[in-house]
Amino acid sequence: MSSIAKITKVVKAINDSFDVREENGSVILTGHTDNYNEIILAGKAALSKDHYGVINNITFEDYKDEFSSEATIDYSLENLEVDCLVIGGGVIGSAILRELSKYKLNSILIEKEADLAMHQSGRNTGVIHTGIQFFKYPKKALYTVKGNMMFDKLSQDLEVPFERKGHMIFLKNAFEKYYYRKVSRIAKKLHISGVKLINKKTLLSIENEAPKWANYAIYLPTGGSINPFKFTVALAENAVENGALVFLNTKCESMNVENGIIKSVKTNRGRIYPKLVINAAGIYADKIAEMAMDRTFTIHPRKGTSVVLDKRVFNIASKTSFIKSPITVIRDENDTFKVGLIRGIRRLISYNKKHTKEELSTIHTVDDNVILGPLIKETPLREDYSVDIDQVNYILEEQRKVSPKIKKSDCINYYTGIRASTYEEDYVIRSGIFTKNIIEVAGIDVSGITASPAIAEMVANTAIEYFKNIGTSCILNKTFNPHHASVKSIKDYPITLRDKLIKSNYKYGIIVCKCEEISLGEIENCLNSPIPVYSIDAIKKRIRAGMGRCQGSICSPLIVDILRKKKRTDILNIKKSNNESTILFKKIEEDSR
Amino acid sequence: MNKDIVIIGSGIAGLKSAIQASLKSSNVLLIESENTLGGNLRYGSDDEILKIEGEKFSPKSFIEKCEKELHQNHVEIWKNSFVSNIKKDDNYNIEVVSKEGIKIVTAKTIIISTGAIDKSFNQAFIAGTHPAGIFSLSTVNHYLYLLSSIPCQNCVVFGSNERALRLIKKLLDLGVEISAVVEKKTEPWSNTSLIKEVLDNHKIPLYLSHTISKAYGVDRLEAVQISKLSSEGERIRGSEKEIKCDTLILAYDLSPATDLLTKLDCSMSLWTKGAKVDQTFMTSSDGVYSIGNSLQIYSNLDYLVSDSKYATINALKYRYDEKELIDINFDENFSYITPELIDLNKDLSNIMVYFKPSKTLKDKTLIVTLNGKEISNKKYEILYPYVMEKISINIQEMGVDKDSKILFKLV
Repeated sequence: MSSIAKITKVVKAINDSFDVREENGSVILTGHTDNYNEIILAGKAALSKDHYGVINNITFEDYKDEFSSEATIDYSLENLEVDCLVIGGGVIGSAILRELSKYKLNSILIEKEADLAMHQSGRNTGVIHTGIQFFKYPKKALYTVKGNMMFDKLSQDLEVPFERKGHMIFLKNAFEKYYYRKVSRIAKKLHISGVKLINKKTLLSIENEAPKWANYAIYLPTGGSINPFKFTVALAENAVENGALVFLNTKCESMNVENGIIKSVKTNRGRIYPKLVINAAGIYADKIAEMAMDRTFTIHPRKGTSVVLDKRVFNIASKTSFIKSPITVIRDENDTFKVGLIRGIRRLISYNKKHTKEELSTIHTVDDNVILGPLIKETPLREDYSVDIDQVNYILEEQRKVSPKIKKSDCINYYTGIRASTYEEDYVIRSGIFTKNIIEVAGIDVSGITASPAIAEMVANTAIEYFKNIGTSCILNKTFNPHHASVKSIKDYPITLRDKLIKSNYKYGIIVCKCEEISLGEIENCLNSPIPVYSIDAIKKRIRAGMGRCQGSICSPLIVDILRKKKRTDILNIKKSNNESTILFKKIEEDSR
Repeated sequence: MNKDIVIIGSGIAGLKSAIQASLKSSNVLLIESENTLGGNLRYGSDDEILKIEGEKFSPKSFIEKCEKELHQNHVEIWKNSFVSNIKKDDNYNIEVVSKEGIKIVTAKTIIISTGAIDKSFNQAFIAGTHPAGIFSLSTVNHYLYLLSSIPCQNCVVFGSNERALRLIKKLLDLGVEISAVVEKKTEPWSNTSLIKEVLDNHKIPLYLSHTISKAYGVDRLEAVQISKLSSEGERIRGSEKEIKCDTLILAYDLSPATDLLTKLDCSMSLWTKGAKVDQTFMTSSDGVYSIGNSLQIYSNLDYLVSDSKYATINALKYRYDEKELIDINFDENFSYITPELIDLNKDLSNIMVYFKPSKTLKDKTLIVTLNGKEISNKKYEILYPYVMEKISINIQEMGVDKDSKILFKLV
């Protein structure tokens, strides 16, 4: 039986009304259902090695899969001719733009949102993965391991806080060392160094708040953590400092493709004429690929919920610094495995399977908060960031098994992020198959931050290759400066240095956000950066003003006033995030007071 | 720089404490993190009347009067000055961040009067999205009173306490629509006449035993979902109701601002969420006193003022003494009692004890026992959970020692 016939049989078994066909080397699924799970199952069933990928066009209920957010229309970019157009201002797009700025090319990035890193990159735990859990997916593993090694230098160049404090997987019983043997074999294959099994004593010396049941641990020293938002902004700002351009609030609406070449890209701000397009559109990457007539994959959104704990009340975070990796084995304290060895091992494997899906873990961020999560769920909505409180409670309950001291009152925030997964579950990084002048960088779901530097390097090389082939000159940008001065938080400076800074600029001495001790000077630095964004959320993400215990209830009006003064605009024009997120409706007239 | 006493925070408690200190000492420092004095008093209409020690003031005139008095008494005032850290050796070294740089002030005694803050959105465990339009009460006050702008057109208010109702009154005056008031508790959290005046007269529905369970909207809030609560405080599934609004104001109870107290490693009360203090308002850190709303949420200005003064007098007299602490115990009819500790080496003749009942209680007698023997009682016709009560007890010459047991009961 041919592979397409096999696929048809399996897909029909899921829902008889679904249709399967083969087109341009991809498997195409069509139909309609009211059961979202069937769409996911069908997508999975359509996987085959003989095809480029799965294009799952099965529709769900009356849900319209459309681009979100209304964009303002102007013609400021009309007829702009560029060498390279990067679509998407997440960590991947930003890293690629920075790599491109190493060459004398005319490169721009467009982002439909009002700020960078608004989706997956900003709604991220910031874990720098070791790559161990991705061994089944060659690209994911390759770029993660390679990217991981690049962070020491990159974080220094970009002045982004980064820690490499290792990941840990707790084990309870002696027979679970079986799992270590598996892990160490993978580590050897993927060239992940330093992986070792440690006993209780060593475990407690690294993590003294480890739960009682943990008798052993697998220690992965290459694991780390970074501030994902600062990292993305620093990449993009460094690119801008080196000559690239970033346009926010700019949405790719359609493309004019002729004879396998993208001639122009229509945006809400005019038509752009690029020589090469790089699709780093994250959750919308399949839509962009479709516009470019080069689609071979489907993005199925996967929502993850995470919980943020307050740093001050949480002694696990402040005294020891560690991350339990997303492959943490979680189980009850009373679960004593009173079963035979073989059955025990089987059960262990199924445990892992279950939790690899949910990926729950305790993550210590570089900003000293603890994040619990994520709890993963499939969703038809590409930008639905609503939180289900039952999931928050579930996360807290589950993680208490690993960190018994967690209290509900320690929770200061919770959020969701949406991963742009493909059915193949691996990254799609390739030149256009049907369209010549596009590079697809899609399906970067987990570990995107970690893999981004390696992906960017590879994509930039492909781009340069392309430009050479079409005869566009691309000489090295000799003035390229890899160093970016990020906006720093000065509260951690030694007192004498901080005092000196305040004496050089008194605004560093005016504390605006009391919870995180952020000064007016730091907020103004943010607004003097290469990509200034005048919104409450932008300030919050860049320097954590409003991210503390009171979550901005004291400082947000102060920041609104600072933004108003700095932007020289009416106070009503200051928004929370994008143009529709109004904060203030009208002013109080003098006589009505 | 060396000071006799440093007061941190300039709300009513801080102002009154600084004035009191200046009567006995010429070396007093008052630190305020904002650029004006007054703390939450800054969010007050001019037509609001405060009765403080028998005199009537508007919030503004009270701040002005106090500031004048402080100047006359040569109290040093640092505005725009943020206490970043307090370290202890023989004395307390206070690190203050200001426009001029970082100053270190050394003092033997500190009064913490940093007030209280609103709980945040996420601590309310509300599901859904987090668009613009979800504000805590103090944020709305700041926009209205200090930036003269209105952040709402159609509100749902979460909380029915006095602060919430005052804000609603102000918003109604400004032409803002109030769609609903949602209260988690089984009874309104302020007195009937105010409820009648603000809610009933304007036909604003009050949902008791309800919580906000979900928020809707991507950019700006579009609606909230409310759910009924069971008697155990759990959400009842199926009781959800959607209310359209563009603003959700979180106006449930304040909680003491305790950042500095935690930095000092003071032991905290499980009940008030403020510091655990003795009868002179001294915390577990010797020489550090906690007053005003950073200690407990006051419902009575006179109590707040007299306590601030009393704490200050004690702070000025303070010298290191061996502590001999005993607990005050109380039954489940109280939501809290403060102080929770009595230091037997300090004055025992007139110990002021504050409490709030856990719910509205009728015809109750407060009985204080010492080692099982009644030493004091007081009858109450009615006790409200949002109104603090005060009782003074005298245990001097009763042979109290460290094994004695003091118990407060409402029967």
